[in-house]
Amino acid sequence: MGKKIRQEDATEEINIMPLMNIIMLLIPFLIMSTEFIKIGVINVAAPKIGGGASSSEPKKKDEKPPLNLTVSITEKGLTILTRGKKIPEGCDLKGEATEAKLPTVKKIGDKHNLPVLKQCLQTIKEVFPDERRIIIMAEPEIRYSIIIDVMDHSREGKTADKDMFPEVVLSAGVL
Amino acid sequence: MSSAVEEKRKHQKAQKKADRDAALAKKAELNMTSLMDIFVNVLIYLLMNYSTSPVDVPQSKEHTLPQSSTKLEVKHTTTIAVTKKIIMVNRKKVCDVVKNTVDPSLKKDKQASSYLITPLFKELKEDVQKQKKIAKYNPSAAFKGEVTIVADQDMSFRLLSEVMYTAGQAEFSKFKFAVVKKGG
Repeated sequence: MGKKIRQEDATEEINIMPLMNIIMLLIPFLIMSTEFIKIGVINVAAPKIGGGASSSEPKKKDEKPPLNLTVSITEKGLTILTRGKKIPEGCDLKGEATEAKLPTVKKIGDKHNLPVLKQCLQTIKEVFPDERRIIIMAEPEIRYSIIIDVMDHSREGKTADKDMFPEVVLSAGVL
Repeated sequence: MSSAVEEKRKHQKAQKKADRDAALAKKAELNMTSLMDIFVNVLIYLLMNYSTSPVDVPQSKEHTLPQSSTKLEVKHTTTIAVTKKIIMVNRKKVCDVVKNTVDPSLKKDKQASSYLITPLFKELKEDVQKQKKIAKYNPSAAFKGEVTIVADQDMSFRLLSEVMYTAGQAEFSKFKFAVVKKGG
């Protein structure tokens, strides 16, 4: 005759204390290596002054002359240039840029008018769909976060998956 | 007579104490299962947020990264950190920053108009040489000239140009600006 296993014995709780101890040790370790903020990067090419000893990659020779799309950030506002020509206020690509019509995008109060900049860049993107490069210039006192904001607004296209001008080149000095 | 009453009372007291102890013993047995559930949930949450980013950024008042909508991930490269007070290369302090400028005595020819920050250049040059030495023996770790700039959002463009120019002189040609991703 085999021993009868009593019902009570079968339902006895397992000892979870060792498991608890392991979890208690894991939690501080995981908290230490948890990222509560997500960090990303923006790729930027060197400014012209920082060519350095090695500019390793040979530059492709384009058949078309480059557009040289430039956004110049000053205390007054943002000026957009294409092929060295300033674009007047209102984003009229063929318009003549007189003193009164500059900068292209005026400041609103203390802040740069970034949505208008984006609209203007979208217009340019429609005319030159193959262009992916944008040169950003700034006055020495311009804050880093403003430059990042301008990069953001020149990169994002109408739809989230289509980039406008993702290749950023920084350049010193203003035009 | 009185002693008999006393005896009875004592007995009652002892009985009461025994009852209380028994009740306490029952209560003291914690139900671990619910606590386990909490911990397991916390564990899962922490595992999901487990950081694999190679650049760890200590955020403080002196060092707040700007926000951006970029989708690019951080890569493991040399890092230059620029806070409101110091410049670091790979978490090692190289020079001080006062009001968005580096002291002219630390620049090339001791001129304020110079773009080259000498201690930063020296440190970066050493790093490049180290990386090139590794690349010599390990072709898969080729020197790409990539550098991540982890800078405070209030840094001036002038200081940024100086840092980038110095890095450019030390043969870094591809720059990555570290930013805090917007919206998760």
